[in-house]
Amino acid sequence: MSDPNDTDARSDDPRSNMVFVPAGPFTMGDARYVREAPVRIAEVEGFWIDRYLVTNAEFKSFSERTGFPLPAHWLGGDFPLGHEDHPAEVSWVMADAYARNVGKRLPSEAEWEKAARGTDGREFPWGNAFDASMALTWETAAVTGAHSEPVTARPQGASPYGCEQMVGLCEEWIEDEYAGYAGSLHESAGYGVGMRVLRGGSWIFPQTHARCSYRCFEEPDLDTIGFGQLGGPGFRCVVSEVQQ
Amino acid sequence: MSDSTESAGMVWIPGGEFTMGSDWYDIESPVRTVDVDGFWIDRLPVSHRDFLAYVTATQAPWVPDWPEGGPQPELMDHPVERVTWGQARLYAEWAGKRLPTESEWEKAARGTDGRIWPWGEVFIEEHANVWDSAKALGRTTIPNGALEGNRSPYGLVDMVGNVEEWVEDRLLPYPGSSASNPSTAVECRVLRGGSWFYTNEFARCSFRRGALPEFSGYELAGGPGFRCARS
Repeated sequence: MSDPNDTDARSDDPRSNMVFVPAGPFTMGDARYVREAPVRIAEVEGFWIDRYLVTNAEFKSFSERTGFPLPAHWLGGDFPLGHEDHPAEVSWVMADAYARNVGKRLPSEAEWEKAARGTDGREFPWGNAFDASMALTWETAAVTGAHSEPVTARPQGASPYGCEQMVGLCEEWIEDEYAGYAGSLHESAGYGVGMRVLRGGSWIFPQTHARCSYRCFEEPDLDTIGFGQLGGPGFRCVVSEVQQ
Repeated sequence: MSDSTESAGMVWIPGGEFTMGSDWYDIESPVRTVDVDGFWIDRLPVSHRDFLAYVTATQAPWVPDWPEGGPQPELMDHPVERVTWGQARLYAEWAGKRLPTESEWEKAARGTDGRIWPWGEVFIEEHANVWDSAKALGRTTIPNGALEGNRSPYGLVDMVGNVEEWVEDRLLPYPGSSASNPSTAVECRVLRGGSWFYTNEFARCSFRRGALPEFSGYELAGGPGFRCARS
């Protein structure tokens, strides 16, 4: 495994530090919750997905290359000292711009969920039993006060395809607009009003939100200054196996 | 409701067995039958108006989000929030009451049929101020009782959504559970019912999480409230 802080090494090959998720069916959703039902077999094309969340150092490098504004919550124009390998917490608009700039895109909801849980319908990326050591969730943060950590801090919690920190730490932006699933009769005030999907929960939430099928949503242009001490969503990128 | 089951804003919950817990999460497992003695519990969460009366009478410390001079007039009938476990207990003591135990809270929320949400087996977004519905409601608290569907089998109002509620107990694994996490290893107190900031997973009658007793929430996402009980 190469050093994720070595952005030069990563930029040589856009697929370095990405893992391949093969095409094929997987079990998506959770019948217990109206926003995640119905459970169904979903199909995705093969794709590459970042093993790690995009870091502060990577986002800063992108901003320096392109002149794209830095996150408003980076006081003094920089990320917190020592947090170069922590996830960049940004708006959907900023995440989307970063992904395009590096020749990638944000994952679809189905791609993200398959990358997180594989094909056996498991509840958490590491299996069906909750284990607080696998991800930075509320169970730990409530006691330690930890709100962030390096994107490489939890190799033990990796998904079946090797993606790390899929749940906990920070929520992750998804390409899709938040809407009801096909076949769902549930209506929600949040559906179809321009929200973007967030996946994976964060340190703010307990195991309920660390499930692979859990969905949340937020305004796409909300910069994380609005979250104050809560921090905001991060992201990882994907590349299609067959480029359009 | 007759005078014999409701008095001074409190509702009588009869003694007897009920189904507690769920098998959805390790910290809520196992599902089991629990017996509680009859008790009185507040029909509504404690409001800013209620808490101001206490602060005025006792010179207790301000709740963190109140501006100088007390809560904003338009928030008086919203549930008080950003209250620590210790502040909630002191209020309850002043009122001649106490915080409910975890099993009392859960029985008051779900009755004896083991239902998932206070109103039944199916989540209904219009019944509660949770993240699912919060954008239309302002992403903040709303007045107690504003959503008519948010009623438990005993007629309790707003057991879920709007503000989380402190209960008396420490967060511990239930008897017979092997659940273990950092929140069960130190003195965390239990929060129940979720709030406007959390999605419907938190609004289940059996949902529980822990927080340090001094936890009062966050600047923008609100924080815990409570209601009181009496034996």
